Amino acid sequence: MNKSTRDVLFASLFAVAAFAVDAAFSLGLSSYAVSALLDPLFEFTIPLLLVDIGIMLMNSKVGAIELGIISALLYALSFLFFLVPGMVVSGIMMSVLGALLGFRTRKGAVANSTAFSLINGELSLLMGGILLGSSGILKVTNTILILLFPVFLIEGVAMGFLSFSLFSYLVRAGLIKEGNLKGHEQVRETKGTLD
Amino acid sequence: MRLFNVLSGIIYGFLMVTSALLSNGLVTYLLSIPLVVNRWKVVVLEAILITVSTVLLLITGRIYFYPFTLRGMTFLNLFLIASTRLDKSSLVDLAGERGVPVVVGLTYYPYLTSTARELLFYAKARRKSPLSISLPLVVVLVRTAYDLWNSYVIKLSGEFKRGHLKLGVHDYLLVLTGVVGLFLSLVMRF
Repeated sequence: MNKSTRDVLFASLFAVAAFAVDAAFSLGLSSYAVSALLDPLFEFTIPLLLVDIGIMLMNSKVGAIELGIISALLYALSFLFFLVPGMVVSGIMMSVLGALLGFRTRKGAVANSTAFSLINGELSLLMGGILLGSSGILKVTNTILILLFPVFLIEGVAMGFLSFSLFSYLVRAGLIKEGNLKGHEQVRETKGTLD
Repeated sequence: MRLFNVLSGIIYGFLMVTSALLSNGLVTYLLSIPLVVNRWKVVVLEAILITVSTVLLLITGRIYFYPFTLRGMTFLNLFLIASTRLDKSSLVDLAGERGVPVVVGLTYYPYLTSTARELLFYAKARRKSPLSISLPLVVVLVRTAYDLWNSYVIKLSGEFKRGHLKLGVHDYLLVLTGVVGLFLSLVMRF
């Protein structure tokens, strides 16, 4: 059927799901006001997992960009402007990485997840320092930007591996049938049956 | 439960969003509660979130950020109203084929939450911990997306009948609520 409509639909579904979880964290705990450092740390747990699964499911270059733009629009609507540029840039970056490494391979999943967390984390810290003022409990300085780099890296890599294992579970369960499923059939033979 | 026409829904949404952006969002949030009151768990969760965030903002001395939380909760309520209280056949009448993806997108979250509730019910009946259903929840998330996509593909071939765009008394009441919200938010500034 019409693949562009499918991409828009899936991108909006997963962007809204990830945004809802992240907004519950950042608005409910008002982490953006306490310090600009707290928001990315919460964002790269469950919301990042949802974004990863959405991108692996869509398996298209346009879909990744659309997911970034839709989530940027959602954040702009709820006045969290410091997250907007990171979302757009990381959407484009994930599209490029997916085209190079493949969206559904282990390498591609980890690379996409890491790119999302690194770009979003650093850019949202920078923009949060500019827009919200760096006068929170913890100030945003160059040292903190460098110190938090490995934290974002570890979060992104961990969520990439987790999302890959969840996706191959979905393939083994028989939910996803179309598209490129090369790396996932080996998992079925080695891991045995499901219960 | 009355379903609202899409025309009155669009006007109501526009008025509510405008009043939320112009004011601090308290009046708009309170006016949006009666339409989601049948989902009282959501309302309780929102109240807890607002309380926690206000307390944290008071502690850190940044109370001037509190409209953000209220606006976010208002937008969440508006999304819930759009997905549960909207007459979807009127939306298809208005927009034709192009309205179908919107209908599918709006149907996603009620359908997902009802399926997740069933999952939680069966996990409870088998005395499993609620944490153990995280993997099945992902499966439900993806399966729901695929199911709705399949239903969208099937529905595309059908005829879209005209003649559902009739406004009732409750539609005018909805628009009136939006107008009242706009005026109250312009008058009550604090």
